[in-house]
Amino acid sequence: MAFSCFSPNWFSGLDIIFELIFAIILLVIAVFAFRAYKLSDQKKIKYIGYGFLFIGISYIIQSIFNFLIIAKLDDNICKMVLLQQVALLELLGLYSHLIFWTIGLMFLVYMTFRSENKMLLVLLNLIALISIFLSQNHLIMFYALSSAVLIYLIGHFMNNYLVCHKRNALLIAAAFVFLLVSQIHFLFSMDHIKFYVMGHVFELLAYLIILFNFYRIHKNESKKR
Amino acid sequence: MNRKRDRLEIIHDILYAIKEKHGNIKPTHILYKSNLSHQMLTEYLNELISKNFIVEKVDKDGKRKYELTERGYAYINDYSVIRNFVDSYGLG
Repeated sequence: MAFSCFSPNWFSGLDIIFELIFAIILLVIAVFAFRAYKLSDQKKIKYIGYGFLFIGISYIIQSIFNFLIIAKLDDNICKMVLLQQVALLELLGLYSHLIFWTIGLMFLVYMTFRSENKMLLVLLNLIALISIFLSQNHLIMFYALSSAVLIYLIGHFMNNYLVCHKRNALLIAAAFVFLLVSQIHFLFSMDHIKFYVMGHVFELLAYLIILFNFYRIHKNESKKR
Repeated sequence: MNRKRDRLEIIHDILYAIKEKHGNIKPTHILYKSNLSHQMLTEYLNELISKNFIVEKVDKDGKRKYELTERGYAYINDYSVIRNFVDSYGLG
């Protein structure tokens, strides 16, 4: 996740590339999930598609706003009016990222439940977003809440691995552990900018594992054919 | 194995039984192959027809037979990939 003020100078721009990579990976999985849903009619596959789609969009939004911020700062760094615009862009980018990431995560939580009651999904989103926006520090609350939700999801994926003993399940659990580590790094990135870079690296590892799992599933199938 | 089959697997078993018989399969044979109760099978067959996975044909003796549609074949072809994807995320 990129918020320009927490980023070391040498990493500005690189974070945008990272976020675009995350978005592409997530959108590829989301498209597959929607295709699989269309064929199988399994609602849980649709929810995972929505989860990845929303998280993917959150990265696209963040990368666009970060790009605009860098472009504006490069153009006119000393003009007060433009600095205000930069601050506004940063806020817009930040809040849209928070909202989309949270909704995506809640879809992933909802997919783990047996309930088909849509109101539960609405409730989860309301509780999460209200907690974030009514807290004194939105960012800290966002990272803390994301970490708690990721711990729950890791529990779900580990439990799944213990039941089925499949390597694919273990890969997904590992990917979410890396996502959790990245969120914890971002939590500390407000005081130490090196954690911002580390957070991105862990996030990249997480999404690469998710992509590798996706590739593995398809490769095994094409071998069988 | 006493593992309970999920919907994804039951639908695959029904469609696979139809595919094996090249569209010349009676409901009783599907019942035997898919290991379902009569009521459950009827519900699944009606759903599969309504969602265009299979078509029902009645021969001159009045006997019902089932054939896979293009969507039915696509489901069987992509089943393993979808199955592994679903299992990866513990959605089964």
